[in-house]
Amino acid sequence: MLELKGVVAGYGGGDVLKGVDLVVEAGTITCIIGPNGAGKSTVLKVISGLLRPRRGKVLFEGEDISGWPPARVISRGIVQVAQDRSLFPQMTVRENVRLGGYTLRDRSLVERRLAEVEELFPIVRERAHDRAGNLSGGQQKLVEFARGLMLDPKVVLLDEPSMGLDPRTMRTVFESIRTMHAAGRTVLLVEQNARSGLNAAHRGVVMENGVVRLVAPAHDVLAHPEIGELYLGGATRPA
Amino acid sequence: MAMRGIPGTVRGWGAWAATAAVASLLLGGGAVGAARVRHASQPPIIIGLSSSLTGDFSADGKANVQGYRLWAAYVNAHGGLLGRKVVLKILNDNSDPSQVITDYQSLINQYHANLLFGPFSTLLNPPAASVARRYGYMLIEGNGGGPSVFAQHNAYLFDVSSPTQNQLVAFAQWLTSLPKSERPKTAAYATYQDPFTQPQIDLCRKMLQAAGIKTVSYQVFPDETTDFTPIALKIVHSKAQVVVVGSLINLAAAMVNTFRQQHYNPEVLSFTAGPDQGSQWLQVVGGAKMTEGIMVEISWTPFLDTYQNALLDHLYTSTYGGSPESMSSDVAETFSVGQVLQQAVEATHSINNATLRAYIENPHHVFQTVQGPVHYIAGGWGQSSAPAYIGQWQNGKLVFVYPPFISKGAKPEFPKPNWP
Amino acid sequence: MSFILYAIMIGILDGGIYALMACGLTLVFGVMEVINVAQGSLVILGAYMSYVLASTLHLNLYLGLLITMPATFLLGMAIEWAFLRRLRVDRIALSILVTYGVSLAIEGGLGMIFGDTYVALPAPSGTFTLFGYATPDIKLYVFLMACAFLAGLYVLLYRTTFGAALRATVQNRTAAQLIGINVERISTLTFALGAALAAAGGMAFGATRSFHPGSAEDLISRLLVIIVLGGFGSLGGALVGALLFLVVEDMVSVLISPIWGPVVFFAGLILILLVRPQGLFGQLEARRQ
Repeated sequence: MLELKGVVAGYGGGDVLKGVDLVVEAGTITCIIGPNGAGKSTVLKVISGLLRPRRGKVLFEGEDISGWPPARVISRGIVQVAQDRSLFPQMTVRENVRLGGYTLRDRSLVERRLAEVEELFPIVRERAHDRAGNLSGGQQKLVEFARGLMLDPKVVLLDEPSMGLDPRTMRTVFESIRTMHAAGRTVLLVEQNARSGLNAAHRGVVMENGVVRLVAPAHDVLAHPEIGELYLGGATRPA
Repeated sequence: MAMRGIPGTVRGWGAWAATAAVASLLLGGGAVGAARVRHASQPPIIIGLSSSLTGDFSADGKANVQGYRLWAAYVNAHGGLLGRKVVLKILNDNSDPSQVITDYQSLINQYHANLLFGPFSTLLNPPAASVARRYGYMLIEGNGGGPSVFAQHNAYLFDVSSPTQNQLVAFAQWLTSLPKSERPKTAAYATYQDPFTQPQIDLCRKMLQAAGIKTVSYQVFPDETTDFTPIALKIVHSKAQVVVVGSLINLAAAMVNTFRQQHYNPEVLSFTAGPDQGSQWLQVVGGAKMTEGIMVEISWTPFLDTYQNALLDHLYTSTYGGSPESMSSDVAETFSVGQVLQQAVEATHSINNATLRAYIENPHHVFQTVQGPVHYIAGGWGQSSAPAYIGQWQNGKLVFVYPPFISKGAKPEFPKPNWP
Repeated sequence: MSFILYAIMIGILDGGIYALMACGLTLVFGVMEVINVAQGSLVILGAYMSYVLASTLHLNLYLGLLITMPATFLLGMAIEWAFLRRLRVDRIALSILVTYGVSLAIEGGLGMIFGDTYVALPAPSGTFTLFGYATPDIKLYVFLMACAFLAGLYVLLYRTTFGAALRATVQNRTAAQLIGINVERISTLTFALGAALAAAGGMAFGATRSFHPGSAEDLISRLLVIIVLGGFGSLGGALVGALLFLVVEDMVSVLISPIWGPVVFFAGLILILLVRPQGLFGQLEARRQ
């Protein structure tokens, strides 16, 4: 349903992506792994419209969406949750989540979605009136997920959701990823913490130096001797 | 000289002004060359000068050159000096003190100037005068009257204009000349903290105190001050009978408005600048009624009834266009330089620097200039007696009321009538 | 004593005007990471526009804002589109250069049209008594007007979707883009809004003192100081910063000497910045992306 064809993109002088070909199947959780600087996050930015590809195409449900501004990509049902902390720290949790529905014209729909999202992520209701900046890292990540779901997206792009989280919180976060997927959404996830990411995913994508090296079922990637040695061997962090 | 630089616009348009200055230099140069001189057989008199055609002072530097040019063109149209044509050799110092030194050395050694005129500003005249002294030349100038110029103790320098510091001397003389029974007893002073106005205020204060006028308020404030209400209120509070302000027009207007609102009407209200600016002043204070009786100290305006001042107005407008009001006082100051030189040359029948210097420095020799009669003060290191005049708004007009030779019977309105 | 109270009140009245002039500066920085050095020139431009309308059409100063504010709003959009949108890297530093150029152009243009002469807006000459001192009515009127604009701005920022989008852009530009906020549009509108508010501030400024094209120079340094004190990007900071600046300056100049007004203020500013480098209401965290 989501397809990248020969995408070249970068910032300033150099190209970070040097011809990326990738297909994300509908209804799957796909996890991109790879070393630092491989271009994992850049792939997400090209899809969400934060970065215009220099060459190549991004196709979604057969439509060429390459170079669309983020607002337009969102309207097609693709939502990205940014790396690191991306809440508006001075606003309350509820304001943050409500802003997730910024592009919706129908105010009553926003309130309905808010209720649904609060159901899925109880923290949104519990801490509704707290400033988002006062929440812990893991709590903020969950609120970010909640905000992303306000548009009831078809595809969720997650940029290193486990970054900076302790193991317990990380487990909650990955459970939430499965919850999102259970509702029929396609999830494309970038993970530095490759083992946890692949454990949660159906398909694994290995990137290196701006190109896709390998696409395979997640457990195959986990079991792949060479990959294991390269990216998973050292990464024996608890998952 | 420009009392205070007007920030911003001058700098912003400096490059344009410089271009215009260079263009006028080229055009003007042609005009001088083409001037008809009857005694063409004799070699011309070369007068060398350097001016700030570019750099920080370019706007004033242009005016500096205009005054010299107008004088030279006028003299050449009337037979030259001692029958010889006057040629101005003008170099550009880029507003730079070290360039000024090079310029004057070149004028003497390379261009063999017979006489020297001064550049623009208190900053550039001292180095120019040092070069002149080394070669035995005198330097007559009109655009550098700050205390540092005379502190050089250079006997070869003559400033034809009123020393900056003396702007309020006539004002103080008038007040102290009042009979003791009428003379006010208290005075308030306020001034920008800058090298021009503050020494004027301080000298005035010293003179008034010596005459028994007590200082009840003295305020110095920074250049960038834009909110003058507290300063004005302190003066109101002092209930001073005399108020003297070292000002710009916006400050003067703010003072007038605040005083009026507070129903505070000093017997004498005087500014170093602001009320001299005609229609602009009337606009910012809200009409002629508001300014009745207010005084301002002026060293020169195109309306002053002084020697050849009307002629200068005519020369200026016919050469550069515009109205006399558009003429910078820099122009009158350098025109005065030419007048002093001409009168000295004609009196001595000489262009010898030593002869001329001896004649000019004699305090008994009075020269007539567009700025008024001047002589050089013994031991003043080039300070002239050029006066500053007291102007006062009377019935919607700015009238010169002091010293008596310029006032033609007009008397200072004292005490100042109450606000309307 | 009443004199000191009066000095404080005058500081507050003038502070309101400065807050109005400074609020655009702080919003623009917050949203765009642009230090708009042209804010002072936009204020003076607004003052001159009011001057032209009042002296040629004899239009009431407040009604004149119905023309000057939309006009400067459009000018602000044009400046943003023509110069600032193109700055992709090193925005803060480059924006200073670019807006400085804009400032010089405005100042030069005003100088060509109006000359370097001081003018004042025709203001009613009535006074009211405050702690025993006659105070021009106009000072109170423009203060109230400034308060009304600031209150309106507050409502816009905190009670409307546009305001929420603007605040979101201030707090996290990337996240704002990712929820579908068109941050370029927000930037254009913010810059234009800042310019329109500058025009209103210009009317208030010009009605209470005389001005000339070069007045922009003194103004911008004071506005920047206010924003530094209040915290870049903070509307409340601009208000509190402006009031503090003017009150401290006026009090010191009455109690000690006008020379010490700015000195005492800057000494205080440095102390505050040592404790809170982000200014009184600034948010360092807010700018993480």
